[in-house]
Amino acid sequence: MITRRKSRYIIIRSTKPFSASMMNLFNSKLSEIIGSIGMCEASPYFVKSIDDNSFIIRVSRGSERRIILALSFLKFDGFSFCSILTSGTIKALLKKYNLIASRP
Amino acid sequence: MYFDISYFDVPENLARLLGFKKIYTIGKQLELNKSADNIIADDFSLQRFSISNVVGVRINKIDRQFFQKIREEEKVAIIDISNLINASGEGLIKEHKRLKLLAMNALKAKLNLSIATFAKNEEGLLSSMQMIEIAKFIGLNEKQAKDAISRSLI
Repeated sequence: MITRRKSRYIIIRSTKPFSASMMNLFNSKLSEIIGSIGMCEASPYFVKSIDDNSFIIRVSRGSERRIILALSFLKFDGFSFCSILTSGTIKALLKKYNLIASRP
Repeated sequence: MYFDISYFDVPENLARLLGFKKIYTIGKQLELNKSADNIIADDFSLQRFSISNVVGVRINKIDRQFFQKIREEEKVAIIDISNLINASGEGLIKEHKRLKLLAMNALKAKLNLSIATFAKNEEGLLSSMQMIEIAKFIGLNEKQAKDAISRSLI
């Protein structure tokens, strides 16, 4: 039986439009904060965009808090990042997000 | 029910998205070091105001007698984390050390501790999740961290 890595998904909101092509820069700047070992443990991966400014990343379970903290210090080229929600599945994450976004 | 303080008007939907019930605006709901109904005073300028009008005190340095006065008046002691989140390298280490000492002493003095971003623009804003992690980063435990961003000033 194959053991799968357990992941956590985080919705991140950027102050400027963010696309998958910027993930390399994002990772290198994040690496300056949490270090190479932290990056290996967290292994952040771009999953999908929700809109121009919001996107989902996947990180290893247990390292999401470190990533959320690191995002507070991550600033480059006018970009800064806020973690909006975190969940164990994309489905639950989007359900929560839509609930918040659609609230009057 | 989390709260934050900023220098600019944050749209309600953005505040909600970031996990806050309300982000108070300085110059609108609150005033910083200016005479008004709801004042936040810096620790060095508190004597200029009637203590009953002050809703919170932004603490910058460790002063046990001053901390005791804030506790007696049951005012909220606010730690400004804007310098911490805008720092990098050695500056970050120094600011982290300063805030950690400040927070530890404020907790020891049993103050109603609160933390706020005092963001000047959207880049300075953090989500409630990030605020909790920052509070833990400066030495608070999970409950203290949640309490620190749950204090309503008005």
